[in-house]
Amino acid sequence: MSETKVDISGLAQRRLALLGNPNCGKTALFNRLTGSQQKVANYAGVTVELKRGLMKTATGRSVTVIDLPGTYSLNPSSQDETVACAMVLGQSLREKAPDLTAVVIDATRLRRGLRLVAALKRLGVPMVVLVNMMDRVRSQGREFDVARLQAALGVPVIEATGISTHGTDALRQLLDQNGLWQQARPDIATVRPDTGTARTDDAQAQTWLQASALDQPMGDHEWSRRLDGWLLQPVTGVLVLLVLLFLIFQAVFAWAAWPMGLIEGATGWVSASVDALLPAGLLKSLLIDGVIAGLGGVVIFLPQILILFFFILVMEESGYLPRAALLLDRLMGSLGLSGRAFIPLLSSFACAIPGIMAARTISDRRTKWVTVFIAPLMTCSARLPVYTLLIGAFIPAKTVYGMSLPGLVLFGLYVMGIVSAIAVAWVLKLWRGAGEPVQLMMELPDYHLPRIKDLAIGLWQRASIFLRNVGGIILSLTVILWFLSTFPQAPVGFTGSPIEYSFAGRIGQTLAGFFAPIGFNWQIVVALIPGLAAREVMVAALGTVYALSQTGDEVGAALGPLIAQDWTLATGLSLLIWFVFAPQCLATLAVVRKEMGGWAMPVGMAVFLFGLAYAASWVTYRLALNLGGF
Amino acid sequence: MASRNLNQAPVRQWHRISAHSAHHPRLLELGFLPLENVRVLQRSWFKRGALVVQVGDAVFGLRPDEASQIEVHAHSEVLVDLAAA
Repeated sequence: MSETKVDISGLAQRRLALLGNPNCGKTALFNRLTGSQQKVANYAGVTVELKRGLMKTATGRSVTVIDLPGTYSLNPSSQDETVACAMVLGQSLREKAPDLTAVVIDATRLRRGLRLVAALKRLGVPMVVLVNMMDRVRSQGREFDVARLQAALGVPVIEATGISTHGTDALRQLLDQNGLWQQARPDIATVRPDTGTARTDDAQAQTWLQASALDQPMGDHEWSRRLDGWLLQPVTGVLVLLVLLFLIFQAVFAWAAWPMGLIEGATGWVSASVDALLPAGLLKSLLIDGVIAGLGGVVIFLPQILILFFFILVMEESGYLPRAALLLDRLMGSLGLSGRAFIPLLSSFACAIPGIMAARTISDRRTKWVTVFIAPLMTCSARLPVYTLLIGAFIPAKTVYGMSLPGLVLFGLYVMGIVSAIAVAWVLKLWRGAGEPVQLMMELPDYHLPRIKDLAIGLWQRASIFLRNVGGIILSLTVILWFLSTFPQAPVGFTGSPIEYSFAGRIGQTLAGFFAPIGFNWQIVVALIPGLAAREVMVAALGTVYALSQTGDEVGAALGPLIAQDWTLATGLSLLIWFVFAPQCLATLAVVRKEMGGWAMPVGMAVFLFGLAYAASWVTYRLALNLGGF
Repeated sequence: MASRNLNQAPVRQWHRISAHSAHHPRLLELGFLPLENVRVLQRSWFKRGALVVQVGDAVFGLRPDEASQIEVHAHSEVLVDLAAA
């Protein structure tokens, strides 16, 4: 939303809120009204997203449109619904109440839409009603007298279809009527939720429907039921879901590899160009190892985030996502999670960052909390270079029962991540189990084809949220870690590697005593510090500590034999286990802070995972020392 | 007139929510209102698996313990009852 687009008549200060039941086509309508002039921001203090956009009335005046989260009534039961209700009733302390509320109702499900209208009318909230999805009613040749409904309701009623300009044009004309904006808002700041109103509001809705001869079922939802007969059936439904989950996993893991390779190549090319252009020195080092590596480290996440969110948006827009959650509900329910936790966890195998961002689709706060907490335990792809190095150096390439031992160990590390995540979720369930059980009560909306434009807007918003919220943090962390690994600079004649003389080197050597019980030497501890930027950086950092001259992939190849000779097997195994658990990725913690709002969660997570990693490595080291006699 | 809870209702058979069903207020908000038409569309193979339930024009996934709070009468029973009256 740019300042220049707001005209001077003051109309842009007029605020229109879109309110409606979930799945009534509100967001498609919002996209239609505002085009690409949208801005997503978290509602003050909580992680509920509010979309705002700018629309023009028929005479070209600007109106701010707010797309509120869907709600079934004015008695909220989730964070999303609380925000929607507080906004529309003017109960928010930080947000001004909208001047006018457009209640979007689904023409094929009038009764429940009208219940919401009845509740707002009872409280005297100024509103207009948009009857959406009229195309579905018309296509069946049913009668729908909008004028009669308007007469019954006593507020302006406009028919709309989220997929055409018809209806949005009528709304644009309607919003030019000044009288609409000058209605007095009643004092409803103190209205408290009252569950007794559901029945009276429903009675009112039915009276309106009878008065406008609309009390017959309006839509045909039969084909959605028929599709559900297959997609929710225990055998075929689970099969389709498994194929889909495999496809998502494959896409996030394999399809993203190509663009990620390109980004890596581009980062390498820019580094090489800077390397060739600038004389050796601090500026060059800052640009290459700090700024360019940091920017590359931010952009590298985009392919996985975009691919994952493409699938999530398609599933969400088509109506399949709640069905997938329903099928997985039993599996996840035994861990105190809802089915919605599955996709974030699956994505975390590629990278915890898109996984944690995907946890936005979980409305239940506790499920979201546990999901985000265990997501980093899934073996992400950044662990693979470290695992490859350590397995190559310490696990003999033997065949056991016809299977390769290194392969088995790698598989075991994946299993260990999953088992520990299950165990943590289970413990958290026991610990926090006293609360209400997680509700399901989830609507399964009609299936429909997603619109390309809605998908594009959704993807664009995800990408910009990531770049804006997390990009800056990852970039600054990379620069800070570069600073720690570079300063103070080693004097001429210093015999060790330069990193030994730096802050990182000194911190590492100071901490070496702390890590000695789990078998880490000071070289490992020093390399763990730059490895906090991203796990795979640990490999390059070890190369620096051991003063290897190789760069890129060759570091791993040269490092393998060296550490195999320098470290004991017990140390190697201990470090492997460390990487299963340790919070070795500051970017993940930064995303957790952004997504969960506040430092308590990322700090708690870091402390817990650090303790877990230390304990597991200690056990591994001691067992290896005592059993193996190494 | 025999009442049962929705969790026990046979699949695909239409029922009506009884006037004095005392279920979770959230279910009321979702549209599980007294006298509304309701039927179970699918049942999980697992005892604790979720049910797919149609209420009026909308479809919801409910856990068995959520569905069992809703007291219902079969449509045929409602008609018999009306005829008797």
